Amino acid sequence: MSVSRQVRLLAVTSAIGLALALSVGSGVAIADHDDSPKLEGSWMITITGTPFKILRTFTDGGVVDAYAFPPITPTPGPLINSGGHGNWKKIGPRTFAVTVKYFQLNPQLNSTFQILDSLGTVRETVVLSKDGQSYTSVFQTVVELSGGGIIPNAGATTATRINVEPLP
Amino acid sequence: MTRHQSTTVLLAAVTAFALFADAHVVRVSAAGDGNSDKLPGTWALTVPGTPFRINRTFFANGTNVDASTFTPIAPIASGDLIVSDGHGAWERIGHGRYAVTLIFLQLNPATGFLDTYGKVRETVRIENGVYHGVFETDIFAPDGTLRLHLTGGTTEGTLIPAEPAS
Repeated sequence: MSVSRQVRLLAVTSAIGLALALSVGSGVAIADHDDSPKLEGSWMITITGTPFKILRTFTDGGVVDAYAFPPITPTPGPLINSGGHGNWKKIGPRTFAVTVKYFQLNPQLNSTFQILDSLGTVRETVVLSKDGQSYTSVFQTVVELSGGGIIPNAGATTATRINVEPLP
Repeated sequence: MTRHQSTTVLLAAVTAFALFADAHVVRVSAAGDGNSDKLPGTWALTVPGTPFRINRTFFANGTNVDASTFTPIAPIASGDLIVSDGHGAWERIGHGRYAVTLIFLQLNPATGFLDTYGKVRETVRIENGVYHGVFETDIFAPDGTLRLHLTGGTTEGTLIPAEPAS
C-alpha cells in the first residue's frame, strides 16, 4: 500500500470515527433536550375523594413515597406506614406504570422485634398532563397480612409537581 | 496525491481524532466530577443551635428527598404527629449557590389524617465542600391555608462519603 493510500485510509477511518462520536453525542443531546414532559420530579398527591396525601419523588433510578394515610389492616392501631420504594417505566405517550412497596408497622410490638404487620404493593398507571405540571392516576393496592390473607384496595389520585420557589 | 495534500489530509485526520479524544475526556471528567461546589449527593446536615439533624439527598435530575429528626411544628396542638420525609426540587442559581424547596407531611396517627404540611424554602451555598443553608418554613392546613411562617433557620453539613467496610 502506498503512503498516500495509507494516509487516505487513515483520514477515512478518522472521519468515520468522528461521525460516530458526533452521532453518539447528538443522541445524548436529543435525549437531554427532549421537550416531551418528564415524570421525573417531586409531586404532592391527593387520593381522590379523601383527605389523604402522598409525597412522591421519581428519579432515573426509581420512585420513593411518603404517606399521610392510615394503614389498611384489621390490627388495632395506631400503626404507621413506612416510606414506599419502587420503580416506574414509560408505557405510552405521557403514560407510565408505577409499582411501589411499603411496610405497615406496629410500634406496639417493638419489644418483640416483629413490628411488620403487613406489606402493601401499589400498582398504578399515571397519565401526565401536556405541560408536565400535573398528573392523574388510577391505582390498585394489595395488602398482604403477616398472618395470611390479603386486603385489596383501589382508587385514583391527582398530583401537582413541586417546583423550586427561591427565597427572595 | 502531492506531499502538501497528504500533509493536509493527515492534519485533518489528527484533528478529527483529537476532537473525538477530547469529547471522550470531557465526558469522563463530568462523570467523575470532584468539584467542591456541587450539590448532588447525600449530605449529613445539622441545624446549628438545635439538636436537629437532617440527611438530605439531592439527585442530578433536580429532585431531593430528606429524613430529619425534627419534632412536629403544629400551630394547634393535636396529638403526637408523625413528620414524613421531605420531597422536593432544587436548581442552581449561581456559582456554588442553589435554591431548594421541599414539602413534608405531618400526620396524626390517631386519626390517620393529615394534620398539616410544611414547605421549606432554602438558599444553599456550597463552599469548599461544606453546605451552608438559610431556610424559611411555612406550615399549611390540609386545604392550603397558611398557618405559620418561620424564618431564620440555618443548616450546615458535609457530604456523606462512601466508606467500604474494612
